Amino acid sequence: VSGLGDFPEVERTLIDVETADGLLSRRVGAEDLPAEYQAVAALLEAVRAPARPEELASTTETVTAMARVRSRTTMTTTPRRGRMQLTHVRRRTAALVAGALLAATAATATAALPDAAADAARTVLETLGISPPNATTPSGANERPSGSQAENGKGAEISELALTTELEGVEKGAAISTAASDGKSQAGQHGNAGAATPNAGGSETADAASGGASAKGTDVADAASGGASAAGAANAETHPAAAAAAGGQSHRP
Amino acid sequence: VALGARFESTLAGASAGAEWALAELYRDLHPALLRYLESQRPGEGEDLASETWIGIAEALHRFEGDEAAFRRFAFTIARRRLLDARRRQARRRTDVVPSAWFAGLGAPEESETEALAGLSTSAALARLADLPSDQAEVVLLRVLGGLDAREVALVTGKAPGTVRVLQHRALRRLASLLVQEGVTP
Repeated sequence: VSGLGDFPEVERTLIDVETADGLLSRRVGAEDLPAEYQAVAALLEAVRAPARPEELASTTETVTAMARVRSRTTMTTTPRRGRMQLTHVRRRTAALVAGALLAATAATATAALPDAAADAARTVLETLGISPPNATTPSGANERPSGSQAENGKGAEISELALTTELEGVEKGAAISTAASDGKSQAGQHGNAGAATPNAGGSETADAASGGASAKGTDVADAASGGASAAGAANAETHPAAAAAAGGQSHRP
Repeated sequence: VALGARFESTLAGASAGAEWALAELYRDLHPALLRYLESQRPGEGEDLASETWIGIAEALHRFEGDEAAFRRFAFTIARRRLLDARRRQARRRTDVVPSAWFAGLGAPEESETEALAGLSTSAALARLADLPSDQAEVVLLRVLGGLDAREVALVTGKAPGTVRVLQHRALRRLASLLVQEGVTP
């Protein structure tokens, strides 16, 4: 067959694309077709003819083989829905863990950020329902111990400072006073004011400023150091230069 | 649609490995699959159909859909087996000639005297095999698979428009061949 031009009778009665589609899907019956296509319609019906017995001769063995495959497959695979649910749970768990780690990291980072960046980060975290730590207070400062426990803690801190500082004289007293008053005492920073009672004023002011913690710290320091802690204060009182330097240094909170 | 309302329960049974359900699917679809494969690879249809059914059994738990989708699923697997066979043949570089071809050599006049009223399925499939392979495949999938042009496009990886053009040309060519041979219904 060289082409449709060899068969002018077929050329004259070409069916369109829609009719061809209808013929294949049985929407168009043979009676609606040109005579040249009646044979085509009959041929397609022959192709669709019911099954012949010989075509189903191997039913039993094929079905047995299929059942064997199915039982093997059923034993070795989780049903699809089950696998999907398992995957879903795994993904959700991974997302929760990742979210928690991210939140913890973000909260920690926020506390260490500069003010402007910390504010922005805090806003974002609060939007997500996460409470970041307060950037203006050092870590752990949000939960301050109260009562005597707090005072003892501070006393121990002052005692430690008194025992370990390499400062001497006025500087040592000023450092202890400053620490005891949480920085309110400015002892040693303003020169000699020529006050008659140089050291006592600083101590009193430090005591007042620290709510007595300074005095307790000194007591604890004395007790812990076997009196060595008092050396700084004594030096401040007995050494002329130190006494002069310490005079009036702690008269202002 | 042959199984209709029974399809869902049959599929569930087949997926669980019940032989009655597998047999029902097989009896419903096997003749069409066998004719499609035999027409495309004469002499290898039975083997390819067996491979196809094993492939269906292996993938049954992944299938979700209605009866029409199942037919598409089955013919997609059959077509893959067909392509595998073609690749194997390309490596082998030999052609398998079915015995029916030799049997037909001695009686050339049969086709001329054959009336379509008595045209056997085998003879009809042989006529389709005279078409170019892409046209024959499209017609077989439409007629045996019961697939529409869009579904044939999905199975073959062609555009739906291409499928429509191929099937149109196939029918025109068939009409020409039958007129030339003087075959009338």
